[in-house]
Amino acid sequence: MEDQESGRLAGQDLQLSRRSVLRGIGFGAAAAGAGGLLAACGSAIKGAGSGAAGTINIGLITPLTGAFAGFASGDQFVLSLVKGASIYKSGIKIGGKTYKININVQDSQSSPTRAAQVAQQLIANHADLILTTSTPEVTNPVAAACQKAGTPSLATVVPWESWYAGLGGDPLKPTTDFKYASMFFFGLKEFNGTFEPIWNRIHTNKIVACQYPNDADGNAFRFGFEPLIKADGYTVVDGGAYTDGTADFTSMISLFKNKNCEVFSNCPIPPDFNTFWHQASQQGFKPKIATVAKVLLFPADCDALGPTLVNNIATDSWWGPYMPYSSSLDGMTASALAAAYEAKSGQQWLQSLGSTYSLFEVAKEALSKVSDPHDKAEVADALHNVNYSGICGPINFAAGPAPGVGIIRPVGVQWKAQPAGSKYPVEMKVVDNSLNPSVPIGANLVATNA
Amino acid sequence: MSAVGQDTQAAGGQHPRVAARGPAAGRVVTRSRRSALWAGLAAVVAIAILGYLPYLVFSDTTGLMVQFFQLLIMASMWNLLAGYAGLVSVGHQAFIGLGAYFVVLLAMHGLSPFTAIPIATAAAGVVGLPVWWLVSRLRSGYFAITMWVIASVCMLIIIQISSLGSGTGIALSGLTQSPTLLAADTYWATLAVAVLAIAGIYALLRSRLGLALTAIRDDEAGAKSIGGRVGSVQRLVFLVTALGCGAAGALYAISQQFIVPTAAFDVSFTAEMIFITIIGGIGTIEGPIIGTIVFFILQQTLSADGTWYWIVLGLVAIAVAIWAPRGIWGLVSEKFGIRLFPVGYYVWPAGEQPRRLLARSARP
Repeated sequence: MEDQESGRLAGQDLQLSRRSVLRGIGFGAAAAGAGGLLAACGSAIKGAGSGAAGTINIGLITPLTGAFAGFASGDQFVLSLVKGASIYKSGIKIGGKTYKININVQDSQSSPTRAAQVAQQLIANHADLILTTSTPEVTNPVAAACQKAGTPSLATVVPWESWYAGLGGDPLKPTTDFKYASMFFFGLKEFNGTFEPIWNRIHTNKIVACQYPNDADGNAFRFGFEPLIKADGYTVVDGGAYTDGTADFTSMISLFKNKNCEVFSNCPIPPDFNTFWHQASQQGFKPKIATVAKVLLFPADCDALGPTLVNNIATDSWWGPYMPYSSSLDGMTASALAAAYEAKSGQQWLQSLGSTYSLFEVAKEALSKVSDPHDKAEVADALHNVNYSGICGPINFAAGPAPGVGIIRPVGVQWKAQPAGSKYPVEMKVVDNSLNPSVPIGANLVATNA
Repeated sequence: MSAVGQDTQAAGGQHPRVAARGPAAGRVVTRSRRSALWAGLAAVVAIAILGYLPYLVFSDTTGLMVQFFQLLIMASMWNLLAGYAGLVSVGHQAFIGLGAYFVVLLAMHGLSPFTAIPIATAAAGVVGLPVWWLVSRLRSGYFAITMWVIASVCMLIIIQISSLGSGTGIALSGLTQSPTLLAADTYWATLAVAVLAIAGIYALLRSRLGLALTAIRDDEAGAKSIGGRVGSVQRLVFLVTALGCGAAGALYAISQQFIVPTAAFDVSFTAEMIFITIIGGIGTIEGPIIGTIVFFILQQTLSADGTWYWIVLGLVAIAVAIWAPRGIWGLVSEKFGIRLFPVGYYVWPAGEQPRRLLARSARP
């Protein structure tokens, strides 16, 4: 309070304050004026400049931390493998010139805001190509920023409909060509082709409980997946477009119980599924078959619920050691990749190893087709025309459902609790290979709740 | 002297109360130790250099500066609200999100996003009025949590509107400039708002209201007892911070170009504002500036390392809270007696006046 008193007693505060206000306004006006003057002489703005001519800069944006950290837990390992192989080790020869390849990894912190920020930084730092993976929350802001800036981007682990809608396209009429955006993964048709054969093999009343949030994936499932299963004779009970981070699913669970749903489908963020599944278990919602998407894709997700609660939950698998494919960089097989990861990290293999690895395979395919790796339009065009076979199997970007989309074919898997004393508490086993018969079946399909 | 009230420092180690006893001859009261003119000139030069930056450096640097100034605007607003008006809010992301979505909405109706900034800012300020009416009677924890609830309500309303992209998000339309010009325009707009925000806060604190605010900062009940109009001052400050955060949100929309409700109304905005203000020094204009610099350096150097980034942020926050409770700027200004933004008073006893004044009094 002392300052207070002395200020008052000095008796000059009013006079000083007027002067200070005027001075403040003066500074503001000077700044605004300076800005205006500078804006007037427009043409010499430096812009992005150009990068080192002999180096190809590749950015990788992935959620190393945050709600989707599980997706990225193998990415650093994949990166170490990739850096020791093929063009990423020895450079690439284009038009008689050898280019070194520099990979810059950035953490999206599972936040769309941060994803867009690091994408813009990479673009400003002369990235020739930006790779991104794991959920629309990461891939969509990156794809949008790259499309806007004219930098080629390649995304994966995002349903193509969510990705396409995020760019401003209409997945129902996928004719708009987003020149600088490309991706490989699968879409709602493939989810349908994976999940419905599983549902058909379990005897149910064909009433499906749908837990789809109000976000990019949830809205894609609501408007793209529900019509597909309705057309095949299933009844949809939509739990409503809830907001990510919901803590109480009681009303949704009672709805599912009242409508006597025997099939369960969802695509929530991982923490929300943990909440939901615990509450469903406590409140007695026990669907005969649960096929989840976006969650329980990785062993780490299963830890939060424990082997009993995840036993016989089915999901989709786009990669695994059971895939009969091998690397286009150095010929390493899928099972060898999984084994190498387990040996190096001491952790169980996860399917994003394959998708992250393939980002670099596709990048290599595209770069090997161009005459100038710094010509962004040419690289973008090459990405739209990649047609190769790698560790995720054959991918043809020219024959996808939308421009720049390559489709891989997933298989249906179930988490199987392992007997005490096993190496890992749960294992992912293939139970349905309708979409990709070249993958061998690993276990019998069993109802989630008998 | 109270823990945070360091605005007045008596030269020659004399207690200010003693020095200020009556309008005794020879005693002089000034705003700062040195001439404010030089500080003002330095500020103008600094702003001019910053304004000229797009001609000097590439857009990677100006792109980072855009993020820096956005954080600075937000943190300065939170500091004004919490550090001076004593209102700790964890819901000011409401105004950030609204500012962002107002820009999206105006751009959809054909307005240039840059023209939309002042309108979106004003709109966020207008929303601030009924919000203040709702929360003005609440104190401390109740105020903080209610603000958070209001931010969530704003998000839940926006997320229902399918023409605004609902939960999927929406790309900002109307940015038709070339990438080079867009980067420069975004930078200038952000710099202008940041300068206006800091200058506005400075002017506010040097006005009569600033005196009332300093009093509230030091002791709210005490300020009331000596006749400070605490309620109306707090309302004004709340509205100013709503405007400031609305402007930051409008700039966020332009720099992001793709808006998702859960990200635009993310409570982590407020977490960053609090972190920056606390480590920089709450209740000073300089604090958020120092805090933003520290936060920004940590973010740029460590964020690619994933988990370690968060661990280091946590350790820094704990270290500052234990060893420098008045923040980094608190330590610096205490040790060296510097104030970049003189908002208090210096009382000079007779014979120890600042050189400028002595020169004028033509001493023999």
